[in-house]
Amino acid sequence: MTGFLVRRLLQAVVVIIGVMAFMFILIHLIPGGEARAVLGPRAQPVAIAQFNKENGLDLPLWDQFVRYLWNLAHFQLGRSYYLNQNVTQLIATALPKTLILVGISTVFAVVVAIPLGVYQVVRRNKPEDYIITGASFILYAMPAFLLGTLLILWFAIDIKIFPTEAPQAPTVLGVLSDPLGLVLPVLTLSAITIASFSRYMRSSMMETMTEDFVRTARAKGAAPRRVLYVHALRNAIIPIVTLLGLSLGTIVSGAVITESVFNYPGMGLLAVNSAFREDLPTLLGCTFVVTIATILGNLLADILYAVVDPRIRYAKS
Amino acid sequence: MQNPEDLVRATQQEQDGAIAGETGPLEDLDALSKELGGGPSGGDVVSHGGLGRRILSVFFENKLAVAGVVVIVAFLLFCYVGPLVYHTNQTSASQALFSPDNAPPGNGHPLGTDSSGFDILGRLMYAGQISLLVGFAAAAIASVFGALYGAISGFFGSWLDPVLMRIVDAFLSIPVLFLAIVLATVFRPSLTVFILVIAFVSWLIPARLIRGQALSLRQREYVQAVRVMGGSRTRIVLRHIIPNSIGTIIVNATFNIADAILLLAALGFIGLGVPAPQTDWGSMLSNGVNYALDGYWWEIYPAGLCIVLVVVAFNFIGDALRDALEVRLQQR
Amino acid sequence: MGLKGIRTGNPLRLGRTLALGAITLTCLSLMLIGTAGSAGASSIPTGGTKISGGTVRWAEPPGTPPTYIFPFMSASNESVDNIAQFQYMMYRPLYMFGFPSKNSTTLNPTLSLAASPTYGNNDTTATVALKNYKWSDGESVTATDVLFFMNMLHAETANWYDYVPGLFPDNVKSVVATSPSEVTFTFNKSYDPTWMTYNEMAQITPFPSAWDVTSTTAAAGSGGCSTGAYGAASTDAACTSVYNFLNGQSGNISSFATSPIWGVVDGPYTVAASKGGSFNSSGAVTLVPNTSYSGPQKATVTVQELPFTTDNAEFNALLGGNLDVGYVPQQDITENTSNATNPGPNNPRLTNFYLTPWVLYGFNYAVYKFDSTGDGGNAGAIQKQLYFRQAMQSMVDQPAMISKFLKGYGVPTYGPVPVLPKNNLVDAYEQSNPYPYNPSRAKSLLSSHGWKVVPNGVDTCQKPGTSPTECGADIPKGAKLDFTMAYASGTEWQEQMMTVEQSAWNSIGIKTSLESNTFPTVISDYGAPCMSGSPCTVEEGWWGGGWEYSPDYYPSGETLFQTNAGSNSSNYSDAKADTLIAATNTTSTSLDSYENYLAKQVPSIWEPNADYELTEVRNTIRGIAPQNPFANLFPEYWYYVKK
Repeated sequence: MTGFLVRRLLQAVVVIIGVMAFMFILIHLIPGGEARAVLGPRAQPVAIAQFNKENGLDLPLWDQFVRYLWNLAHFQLGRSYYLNQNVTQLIATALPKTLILVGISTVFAVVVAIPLGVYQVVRRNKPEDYIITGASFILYAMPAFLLGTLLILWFAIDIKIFPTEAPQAPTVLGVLSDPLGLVLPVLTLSAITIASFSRYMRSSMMETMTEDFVRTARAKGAAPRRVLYVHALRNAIIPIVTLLGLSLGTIVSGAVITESVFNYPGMGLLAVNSAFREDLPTLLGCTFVVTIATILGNLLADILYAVVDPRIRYAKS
Repeated sequence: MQNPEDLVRATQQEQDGAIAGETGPLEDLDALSKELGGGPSGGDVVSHGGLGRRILSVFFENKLAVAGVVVIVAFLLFCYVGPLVYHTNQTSASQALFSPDNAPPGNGHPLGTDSSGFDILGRLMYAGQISLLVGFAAAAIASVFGALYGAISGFFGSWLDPVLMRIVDAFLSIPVLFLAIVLATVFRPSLTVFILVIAFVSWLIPARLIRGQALSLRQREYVQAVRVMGGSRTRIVLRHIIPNSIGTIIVNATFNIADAILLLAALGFIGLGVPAPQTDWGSMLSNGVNYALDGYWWEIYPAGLCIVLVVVAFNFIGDALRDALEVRLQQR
Repeated sequence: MGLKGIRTGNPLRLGRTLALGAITLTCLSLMLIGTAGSAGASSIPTGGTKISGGTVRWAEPPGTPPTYIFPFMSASNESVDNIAQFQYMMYRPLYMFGFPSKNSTTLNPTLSLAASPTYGNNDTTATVALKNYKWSDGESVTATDVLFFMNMLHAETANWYDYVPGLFPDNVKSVVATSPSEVTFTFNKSYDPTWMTYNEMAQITPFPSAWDVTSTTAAAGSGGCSTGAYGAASTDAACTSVYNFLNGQSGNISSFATSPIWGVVDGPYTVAASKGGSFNSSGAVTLVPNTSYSGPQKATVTVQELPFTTDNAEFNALLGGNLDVGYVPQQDITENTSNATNPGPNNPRLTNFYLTPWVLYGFNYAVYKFDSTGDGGNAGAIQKQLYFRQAMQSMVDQPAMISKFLKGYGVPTYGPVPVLPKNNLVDAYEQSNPYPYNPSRAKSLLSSHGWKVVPNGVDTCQKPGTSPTECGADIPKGAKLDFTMAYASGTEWQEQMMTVEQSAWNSIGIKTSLESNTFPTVISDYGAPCMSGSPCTVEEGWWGGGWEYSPDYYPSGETLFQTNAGSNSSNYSDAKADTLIAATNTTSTSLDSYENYLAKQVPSIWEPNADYELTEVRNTIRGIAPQNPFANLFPEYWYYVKK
């Protein structure tokens, strides 16, 4: 197993460098170059020349790339001329908010989807199964901004149960102390994940139920429920870990839409705003940090999977 | 998100180093004989009489899949034949200036008009053309490119495989919408750029999946035999690996189309959508959502319904195709 | 939903022109408030018992939080959100323009820090007599503080957003503090006094000597910038150091509320944390009353400026009761109004609010590029022809588009001087709309100049040459009318107007292809004039924000239309226009000749100017409507009433 872990870690590092290279290339594709991106569209040619000199943009490309990697590794992500702040500062405020939203949504999705999947297996091919499957498909196909808007319309404006926006408090504690405000955003963000996870649970468990070892357990006289929960469920859950890792990227993407709809000042909103203002340092900084988070998340999922799956644990390194 | 099962399997293949065999000895002999005979071999190995028919029958047994196909065909007719039957002005904004805007259904406008005065029913057809076009084109490009990439990576192996796959990993780590936003910001938007951007975020999964297939096929004896006979690697990739993966490619492409439509809608919502005067269902929906609080339901639900129906239909079809694929795999 | 609303009704000032205005009809503006003349117009409530204190939650325009606190900034930090809606509340400009609760566009002597300048010596000198205002650290606002600004301006013209070569401070020979409360300016020649006051002196914001430092622990005045002689090299050097320090301080957003530097204010408000204020890096600002404000009206309400990314998010907050003064997005207006400055019927969901349209003193325009090499090399030459521009303008139906897409909340542009809010600089000729929508006139203009008009095709030049019936100079036979018009994406009404205009131009054979791009890109490509030496391939563009006359409060055109002017986006160059503009600056002739000439010339495509904001005010708040036409906020005049 250690061999596996080491391999994965090295892979992650390589991937991160790859992403950095990609961002470096992009910056150099912008017309006007980095100077215009940082100083803004109304910068004078004199200011641009000065910026280039100060930031070593007249150095050879390889040299620039190495400096760029060095800066990124130290989380010096540049400065947003538009918001007059360091990108790192901006991200430091926005990242925790997104982490809360994504974290709660993921946990909520898993907690709802697994029992839902099991329930569908227990009631397979009965009306309940079809209804839930149907609802899953529809939720999966509905654009997130539509779902979010409808939720706001129905439950925050027409019937005033929840507030119309996500908690606006500047600190993490502040956000968490306004749980009502988190309900609708979490529902919106977890909808797609619940839909796909429960579908997966259902089909995975159905598949497991036909496996040999389940038949053996039944033949040995195990009660159906024991078979279901102990054997089938345990085996079906293992791949959920992998699925979680893979879904992380999607959930974070979904956060972009959810944050926009609910005016929640997280990474997604920051990225969208920067895109609009062509504030490339901030946009790329956001993308970079979010990517690192996703890679770490994936790594964590892989480690968890390795711990849980005996085949890996006892595999030759 | 793509079909989870295949993805999980492909990822686990990565991790376990385990290689699952996907074709049986019958197919191997078939392929070998074709190779020896020198005859055309690009086709799907299974298009041999009974098996092909069995797959189709499994597919059509699935009522949901049939419904899906019906829905897609209906929408294609609606979008492309509809305008020939139901003429409305969808391009001249100055003409639309003179019709009432935000009008509820009635008075010659069965679904009302939008904020510019365009008839909504007609606009759904017009927008549908763009949504479906972008969906199909992006999925097609992504599938072709991804399949080739994955096949080459999996088959050639050695140092090429890890490098190519790490590149895929790098792009896969960047959450889809962020990647799309970055690309749409750096490259000035136009319809072609959109198709390419969406294709770019979509080719990664097919690449992973086909690479897995290629890995397993590489081990097959008949492939080794072809090598011994002097068949070039390109020939093997094009004539054996790709055709054997067609099933996976198609299933994946189906889900890709649905995701492309949703991604285009999300980009439209953010404001990085199809540039005017063209529009797609997603832009119609995000414009309509502006009026959610004003009660102009006809600007929201019809477009939303179109998206949901088409995406669900493609998902049904994809699911059924995948089940049918399992049938083929179970033929040993 | 969508972030399309980010720049709804939010004009971006491209630099600031100098404004000079005669007294407007304040009575008329007062009449506009209470009128219920138009059917279905809603009225602004009056009356109620005044309550002191309270907090007003004010919605910032979408996506634009204040980001810069130092009132000396370069173009990249110049914005309404930084200046008019943030800095001016704490650091008063020497001269204030516009009034609270009035549409007037003139100098406001009551809220200015000095009496109006007295001109002498054949209008080559100006004397400014300061009133007795105090800074919150106990110091008085003195002549040295004015000198401080002028010295810094002299040293750092490159970093001053409103710098025009040849004008302030280049045209100032000397600035001397003749007494602690009097400053004397000497200019390099004789200038029109009202132009000088409205467009040049208007740029001055006095700085406290507490800012004349190069570190937070240094003694006030130790920087040497406020005490040095104007124009001396040593003063310039000192001022550059001080500027660098203050600019650096202003780059640290999280310190705005805690820094001792920014806590020294002379305006009615402060963000100092020690007084209860705050500045949050996401853009949420709490401004508390400055108890040592020396002006005529001390503030009683605390203002919380709240950031929103989209106007729909703001609208949700408004409906949810989380705002006291917000705005209704353009698309949620349910019924038309008859006049851009009058509120029409309010959105029925907003029962606790009243609507008051916020109209700014500015105009909107799409630019030509007279040096363009587009359209096969002929774009520039064709655009230089007056008849062509007249034809283009005659296909723009402003009133219809305002009524349809802006629900009446927009002001048509007929020339460089705004027709609304009511002012007496706009004359009858301009107001009569020299180029109303008239397709047949447009067609005949083209055909009478040798073009073959092909509706929905492409017009071609059949008669090249320079006589009055021929196409014009440098236009070859067979030249096409085939242009690309770029516009900024994200604002629905602008997109709608662009598509309408496109099909109108296409219908008479002026083939126009639209290209949508992000706002920063369009501003950068089209806002800046084409530089000689680099190819000018762009043809036509509209960033949608238009021009707001602030702090160039006198619309005399030297920054917009004079040859080689910094904001002359089209590279428009006309000898007669130059002469007329020069006359407005240096003699006291009226604007009429300049204005009429430019209205006739149509150097840009005049476009409708949307209301800046459709403000929604809680029913229990008074003292806010109608709002200042230069986007200034005067919350010290706002108060709650008991219903």
